[in-house]
Amino acid sequence: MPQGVELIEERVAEIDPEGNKVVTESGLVLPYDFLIVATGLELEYGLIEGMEPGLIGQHGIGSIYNGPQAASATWGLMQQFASQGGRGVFTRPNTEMKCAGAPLKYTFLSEDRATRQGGRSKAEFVYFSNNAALFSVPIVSEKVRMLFQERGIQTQYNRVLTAIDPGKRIATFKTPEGTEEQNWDFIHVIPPMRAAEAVRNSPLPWQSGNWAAEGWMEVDKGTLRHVRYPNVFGVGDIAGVPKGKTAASVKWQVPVAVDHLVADIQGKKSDALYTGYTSCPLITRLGQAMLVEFDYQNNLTPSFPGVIAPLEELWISWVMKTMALKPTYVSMLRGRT
Amino acid sequence: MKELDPLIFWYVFQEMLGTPLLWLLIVLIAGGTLAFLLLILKERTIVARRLVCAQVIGVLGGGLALVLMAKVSSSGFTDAGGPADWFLIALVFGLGAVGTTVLGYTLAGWAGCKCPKAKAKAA
Repeated sequence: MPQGVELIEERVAEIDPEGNKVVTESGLVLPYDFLIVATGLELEYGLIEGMEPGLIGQHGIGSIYNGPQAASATWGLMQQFASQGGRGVFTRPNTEMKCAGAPLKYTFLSEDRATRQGGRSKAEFVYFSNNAALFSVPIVSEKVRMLFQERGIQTQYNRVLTAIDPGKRIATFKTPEGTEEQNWDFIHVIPPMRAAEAVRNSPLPWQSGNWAAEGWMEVDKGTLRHVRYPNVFGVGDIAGVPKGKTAASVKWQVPVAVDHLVADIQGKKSDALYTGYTSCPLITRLGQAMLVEFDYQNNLTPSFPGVIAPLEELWISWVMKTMALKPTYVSMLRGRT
Repeated sequence: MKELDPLIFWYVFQEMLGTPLLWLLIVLIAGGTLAFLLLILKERTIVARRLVCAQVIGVLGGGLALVLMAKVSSSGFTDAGGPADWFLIALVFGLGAVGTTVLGYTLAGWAGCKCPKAKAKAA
């Protein structure tokens, strides 16, 4: 910990921005002059009827989000599926989520595995998108659509997973016309995601609009400052902004929020601005990825223009993802980058 | 990415390799380069025979560098996609080849080896 910082290892139970204080689970009251909220989000497997984390690794149910063991168990099932074949069902929740590329990446990787392990001809891949596109950035969505077509991955749009029956291996999807059932041999379940409970129970979330139900913080998308409580900032997954639940976004957001906070303390103004930068190294097969970077305007914003093309499947992007990303973000957590 | 600060490379490599290994690599590279320069200074020439021998080892070194690269990045040998990939492959091979050549030449030089034919000529 940096000098002068006190670490209190307790969960926040209540956030009271009217009273400028935070209360922990043990009842400890912490008054503040400024508050930075970075609680992240919660995975809500329970919002899918019949689903709970304990099922991951059984009945062909995979879900990489629930932690290392779940990811490992999912890998085991995916390997089996890649060799034996069958019907692979890949989903995406109808909420904001962290790393909106991951549902696609897992589909690509599974298809690549099946091709390498010889089970491809016996396997069917169907990707169920929660809305009418594959990705929030139109140019990327089109590229993914083309890649899916090339690789023989079928797509179904406007399908939201609402229930699963592990015994019968039947998934129920909500569609614009009603509901429909799909059977699976392997299913990749991604849970709906919501803001952390303490934030949801506070006055901090958006009070109306798309994000009110999910509880994301009502912050200004350029400064990360709370719209109604100017001494409160929200960074990371908890921020209710149009893009960016990725580590790359946080890396940009934090210095902006901090610049505004410091300017407040100094009685000055800051013009630091977060333009929605998000980075998604979209893995399309083992050994290749597309380095997709964009902003609030859905413009592509490549970090290495002219060298690493954003919509090109490249080995160098895979190398960056496997070797450099985690050290970069750990280094960010140490306050160094 | 907002901006590319050179210091970022230092911190990222530190995180990747760990501080001890990073410093060891730097010392080896600096020490090796210094030993090479001192050798050139001492002999006042580049010994062609020795250089050619070193270059052969250098090619092997370049190949080894690629194998190492594949291993640490969990890659196969069919992953190259576009020009940027070929550039990276050439860079890795190049660095491995040059490094190994310099290292081979320097070690051979300090060990007193001028290669058989040259020794016979000098005698």
